[in-house]
Amino acid sequence: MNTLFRRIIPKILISRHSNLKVIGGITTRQYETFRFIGSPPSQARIFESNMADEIILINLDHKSIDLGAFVDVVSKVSSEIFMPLSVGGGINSLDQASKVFEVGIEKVVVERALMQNPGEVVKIATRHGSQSLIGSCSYWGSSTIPIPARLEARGVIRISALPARLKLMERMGVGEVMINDASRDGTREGSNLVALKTALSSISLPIIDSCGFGKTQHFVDSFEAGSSAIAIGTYFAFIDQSFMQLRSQLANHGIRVRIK
Amino acid sequence: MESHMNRLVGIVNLEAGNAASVERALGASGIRSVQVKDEEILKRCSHIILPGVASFGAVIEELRSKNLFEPLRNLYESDIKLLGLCAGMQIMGQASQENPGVKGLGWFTYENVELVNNEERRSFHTGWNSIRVKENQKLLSVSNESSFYFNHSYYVPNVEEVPENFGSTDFLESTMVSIFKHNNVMGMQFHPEKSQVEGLNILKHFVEWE
Repeated sequence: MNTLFRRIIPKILISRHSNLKVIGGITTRQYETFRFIGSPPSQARIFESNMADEIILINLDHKSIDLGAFVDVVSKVSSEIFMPLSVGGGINSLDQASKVFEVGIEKVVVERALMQNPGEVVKIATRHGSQSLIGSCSYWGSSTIPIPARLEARGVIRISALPARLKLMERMGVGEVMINDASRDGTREGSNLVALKTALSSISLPIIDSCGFGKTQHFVDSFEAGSSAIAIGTYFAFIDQSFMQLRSQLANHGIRVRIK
Repeated sequence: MESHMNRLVGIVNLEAGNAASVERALGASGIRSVQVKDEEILKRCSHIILPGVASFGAVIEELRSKNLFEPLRNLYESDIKLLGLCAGMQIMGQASQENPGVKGLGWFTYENVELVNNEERRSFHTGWNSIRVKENQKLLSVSNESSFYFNHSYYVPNVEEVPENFGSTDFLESTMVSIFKHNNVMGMQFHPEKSQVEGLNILKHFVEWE
């Protein structure tokens, strides 16, 4: 069976800075804003020059960045790069998704809309195609610390609910699934391989593994377990190691990644 | 930039397409292009690009509604260089399983087939893949190390008119034509406008094709 190259996908999470009032990229830790890391178009350019396989741009601040302002950011990022761009954060309807697609992006990412507006998600899949739709699922993977109420209120589910949620997403017509362990977000301790294996045995869609990546071995472990892609935020914001080094190391482990 | 002075690159404007992305990708190499909306502009171009991010049937329908189908069809074996991307390449054949009964431009004998997995379910080839070319082939700048971004679920199984000069890509159980060149025509199943530096280079090479 012939497969695609495994993908490494930088995530650019955006928010409006409370003092500076500008929209910028941020990193998060257990889903709380951790640090500002700069302008999204500049970050996207850097990621492109490092041969990132795809970029995911997420609006985490729907209260102060409305759809119009977000589309503006997407458009600026999209005009800087010549590679696939996926976009999400507060997209709740076909109409909203279509406004983002018009800018010239490849995929829309939905998470809360899957539960709040399932009919519209099905419409997005039908109109733009399943290959243009990523379903995202945030879960709490820690077995020692219970899920914080603030995250449960934001739609983060328990890990035990993961298989049922993923099957639902598959039925709704998403083309691939991104799984995010909120308890590992920003920790750089490694991704949740138990959840990844659960996801792989629950559905047949490609899985984007996310949250917790801190060193090369974590990428090897996730790819060897069967993820199709890895999305990272913190890793690329705070490391000395370059993207190209990571890629070469993965190739040395026998993982099929783009190296030229 | 100078070498492109006497050329006019036209991008056929298909409403559902990615004409803007292709225009920007050419612009990154200093190549200006025009949007082709009617026959008059079509005939002034030295190079024409047919972008396609829609179904086989939708692209044909767009060409017909703009009265561009017949004028474009007549450009085969002319002095004008033609490039079809994704569905823009698929429509150069006879037909497609995607929209049975809809006739393509018919320059080549191929019919596009659906990509299925081992459970016979329709599948998408979405992501980065490589191209296999023979060593002595000169298909622009493509080599076996090149990787390009694909996004489609129908494919060209072979181009009988081009027994040698083409590149192919494997996905699931299928082998598909990913790039070919014949007469005044080139086709690419992938999206050069989304394939970073190598994609931009391949578009530049097309424009430099005389």
